[in-house]
Amino acid sequence: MKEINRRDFMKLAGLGGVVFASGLGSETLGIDAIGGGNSTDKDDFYFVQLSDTHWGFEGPPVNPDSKGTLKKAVAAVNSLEEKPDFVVFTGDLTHTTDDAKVRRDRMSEFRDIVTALDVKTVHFMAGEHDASLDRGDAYQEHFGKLNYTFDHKGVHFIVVDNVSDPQASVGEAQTKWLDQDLKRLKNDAPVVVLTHRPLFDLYPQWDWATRDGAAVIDTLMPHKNVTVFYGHIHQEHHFMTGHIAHHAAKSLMFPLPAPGSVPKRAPIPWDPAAPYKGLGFRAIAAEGRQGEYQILELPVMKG
Amino acid sequence: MLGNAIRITPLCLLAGLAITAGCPAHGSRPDQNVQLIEVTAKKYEFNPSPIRVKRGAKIQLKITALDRAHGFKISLYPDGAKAAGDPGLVFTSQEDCFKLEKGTATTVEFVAQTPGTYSFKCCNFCGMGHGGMKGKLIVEP
Repeated sequence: MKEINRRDFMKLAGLGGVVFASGLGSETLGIDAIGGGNSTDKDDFYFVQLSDTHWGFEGPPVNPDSKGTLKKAVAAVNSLEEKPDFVVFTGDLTHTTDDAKVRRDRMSEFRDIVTALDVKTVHFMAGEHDASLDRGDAYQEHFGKLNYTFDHKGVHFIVVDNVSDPQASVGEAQTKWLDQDLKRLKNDAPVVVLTHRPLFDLYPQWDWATRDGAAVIDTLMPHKNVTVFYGHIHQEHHFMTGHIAHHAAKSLMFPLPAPGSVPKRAPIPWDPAAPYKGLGFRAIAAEGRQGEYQILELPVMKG
Repeated sequence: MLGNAIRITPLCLLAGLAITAGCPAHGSRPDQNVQLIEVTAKKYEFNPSPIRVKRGAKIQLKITALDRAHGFKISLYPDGAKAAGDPGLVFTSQEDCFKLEKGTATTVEFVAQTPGTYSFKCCNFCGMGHGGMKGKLIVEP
């Protein structure tokens, strides 16, 4: 696997992406805000976040290419000049259905499509569309645990499930699990939390919150280098709770309006003059063990 | 001389009163001031909506989920008002999301303190239309 340095990562921006800097000392948007750091540090790596693919959704006014968008996103990831170390999906892999068989069929189809990703490792996570109606039974049959951890080049990744409880809670047991996991780390160790719903109250009126998210954030707060990547809201969004940065990702099926910008949360209609507008994925470069990340938003297709 | 215990039947049962919360303890009176409102929940609507009540009324919403589990969550403050100070709806329970099990009536009790419109919604993910499963309670002066 080839090491990636900042120059290589920035080449990806030539695909039409916008770079956002997240982490200690990165207070403003833009490339100029990126601090120092050893760009050839062997601990540098990047990964790709894909989110809210909603496989199974059909609605031509919203996405006339509902059966093709995910495949195009897979092709787009595979065409990246530098291969990511891994890919993570932050939930709503499939679109909700009351039919348990259809739910499983969609998960199988989704899994088959993403096996075409030319990466060594893919991590999955459930969204409420995948897991809220059956407490995650079908999801676990197909993709494994709802909450888990993994480590990569000095960064500790924690997948937090805030969807299998239909009341949008993480729950005491899982929060305790999180607490015990964090206690094994030094409080300046770089930690990335991957979750589906926002942990903070972004816009509870639209279910853009986690019921006990404040308790989860309180558990994370003693750790200085925590960054959260999540999905659910179908748009890029950046927010701070204290020193913890939260970054929401675009969807790969349909965009949603900005929080509270319209009376009703509904998919933004497809624009034939700008196909796939508002859809995309992101590349996230981790700079060594400093807890700093460069976020590159990428379109589904080249412009 | 009575050799056996005598079963005392509470007056409320003798009177044939139908008390939703069960027959009160001997010596107390049923609360005549509680307004009982039957509500149903099914994908993806609450019925009735809007629900209209008078200021000062003590309300019991008896909510039954007809088709699957749902949830009920209502704003404590009128729509558009700041969520600060005394709430407009005063609840006896600390619960903020009442779980509605299918086929079972769940009672949500509060005093309608302040006039205004209070939005409520399903807070237990129930499917594609979950986000639109909402209703309104109107407290009239």
